[in-house]
Amino acid sequence: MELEHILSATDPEGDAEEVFGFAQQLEKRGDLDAAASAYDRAYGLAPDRDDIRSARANLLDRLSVIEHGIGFRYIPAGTFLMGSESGDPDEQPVHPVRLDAYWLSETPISWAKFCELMDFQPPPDGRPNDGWESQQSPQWIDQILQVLPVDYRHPDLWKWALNADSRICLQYCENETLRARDWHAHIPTMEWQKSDGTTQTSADMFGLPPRIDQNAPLAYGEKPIVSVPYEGALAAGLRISTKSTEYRLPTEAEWEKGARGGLINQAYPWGNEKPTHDRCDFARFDEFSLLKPKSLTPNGYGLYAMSGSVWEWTSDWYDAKYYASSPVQNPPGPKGGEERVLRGGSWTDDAEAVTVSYRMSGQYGGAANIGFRLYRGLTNTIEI
Amino acid sequence: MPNRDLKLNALSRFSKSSPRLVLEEYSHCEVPAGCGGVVLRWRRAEEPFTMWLRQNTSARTMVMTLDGENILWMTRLSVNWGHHLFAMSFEEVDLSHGFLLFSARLDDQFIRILQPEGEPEVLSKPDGKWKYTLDEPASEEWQSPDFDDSSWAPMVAKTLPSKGFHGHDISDFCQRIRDIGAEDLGIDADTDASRVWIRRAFTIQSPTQGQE
Repeated sequence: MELEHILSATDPEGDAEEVFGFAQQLEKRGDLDAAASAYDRAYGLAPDRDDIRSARANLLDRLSVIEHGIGFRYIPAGTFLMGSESGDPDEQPVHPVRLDAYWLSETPISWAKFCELMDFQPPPDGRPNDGWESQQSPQWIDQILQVLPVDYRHPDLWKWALNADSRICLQYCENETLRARDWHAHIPTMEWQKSDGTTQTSADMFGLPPRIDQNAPLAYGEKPIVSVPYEGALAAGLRISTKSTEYRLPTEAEWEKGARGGLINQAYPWGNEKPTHDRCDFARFDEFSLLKPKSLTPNGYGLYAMSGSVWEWTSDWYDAKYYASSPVQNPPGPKGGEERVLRGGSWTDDAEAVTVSYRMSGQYGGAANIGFRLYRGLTNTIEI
Repeated sequence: MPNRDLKLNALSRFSKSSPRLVLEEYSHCEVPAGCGGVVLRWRRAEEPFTMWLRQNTSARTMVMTLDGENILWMTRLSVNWGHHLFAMSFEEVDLSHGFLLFSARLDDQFIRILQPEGEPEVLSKPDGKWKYTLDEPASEEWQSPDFDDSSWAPMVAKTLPSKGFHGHDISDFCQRIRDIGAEDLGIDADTDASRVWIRRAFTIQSPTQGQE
């Protein structure tokens, strides 16, 4: 058996036992990246075999890393079938995509982590300090200015936007909060002056947001950030990138391969069964809340909430017809466009919109169900 | 910057369309999450959809129902695909003027759906579809979509006065409904009656049902 065959295979039929044996040989030899690809292929052929599942999971755990306080799960190199014949027209044609190995953050990035990555004040403030620009790397600031829309390049305007977005985060991103309420309710000590000159607090006017434990300290590290603009998500990755390790938004192909979790031709990260609420945060429009991603079941790569929870930014421009001309090897996405691709569906959306292949697009993240997760790579460079 | 933020939450920021699913945008004023809580939602086209209703009249509204259920004069309605009926009754009507302007429609500013069949909007027009009677119906069956209204007469074009039932100037609000495409309606009858019953039936079918 040759490794090249493993890396290029997409056929759902094959000899899982033979591939599994090959993977074990590679692992014994210490060629862990190649072994992971072989285990991944064996798993795709026989996802119900406990021995294959266990060996694969053990190796993927070994290859995963924690950096900047973020767990990054390893996605082996290989080829997968992207798109869906039964989905929307923009999910077609189904086509093979071959990707090098990479990592994805195991959950969407939280508001607290976003602020930490950006060197902002932690939530619930969530904004840069005065003089923040002067404390940052000039090179990074230049990079940010290049990717920000022209009308956002004045720092004060960016702060204003963050302030507006942060109000939405207040409502949805706190660990213990069970339901979004008017943002004023999340600042209970905020004072309001009445016409007679007396004051009352937000708690008096709006009540307290329902929480699992009203006495628990406010924390924002377990639910995804929402209402995050594409440029903000991009900036967070750029800020921690180095010459040897790149953090950025995944391409659309990287996102979809990660979401599939190693399964072949399945609609959801767990298979073809319709989603349930223990697997997926979806179709809860009337509840106005986010579930903690780690309260859900991870997929085969150990990634949480690839289906539902929040729409996630990818680096690709949206082109409904891109799949017809997409290159096979590490597709970077269209060269231009007006909107970026959003993936994964969210807590508001019905089951048909939270498949691994459903495509959404947007210009700006000002909504209570748009967030992101980070890609980690050692060699790839995607031009953005 | 100003343009970006004015359009911050607009559906027009999202170009993706689906032949199977509907995209809705709920503004911060419409969701319990309140200020800043804009929500986007993809949902099945087969499930109830939303119509935005605006109505004005120079008379006192006694009944306003959709398929027999009470509705408000300016509201967001959840409507299933199929055959439906708006039923209204007004009293203290001055029949020398028109007295009804009405709009209920899918609004592509807030909802994206591909080519729904039937009537994605119900506008007051002198098109024979708006029917009235001056004879009080014997039961509430007249509010049912299946009621036989073949003996009811069609409403006609007739201009509303500038003052509403409470004497307020309603010309601006009426104009906004006219701008949507609705027309002033009244009845053509030589009578001193002051109570009118109105029916407007409509059918709307999802594009996916049409394909089946």
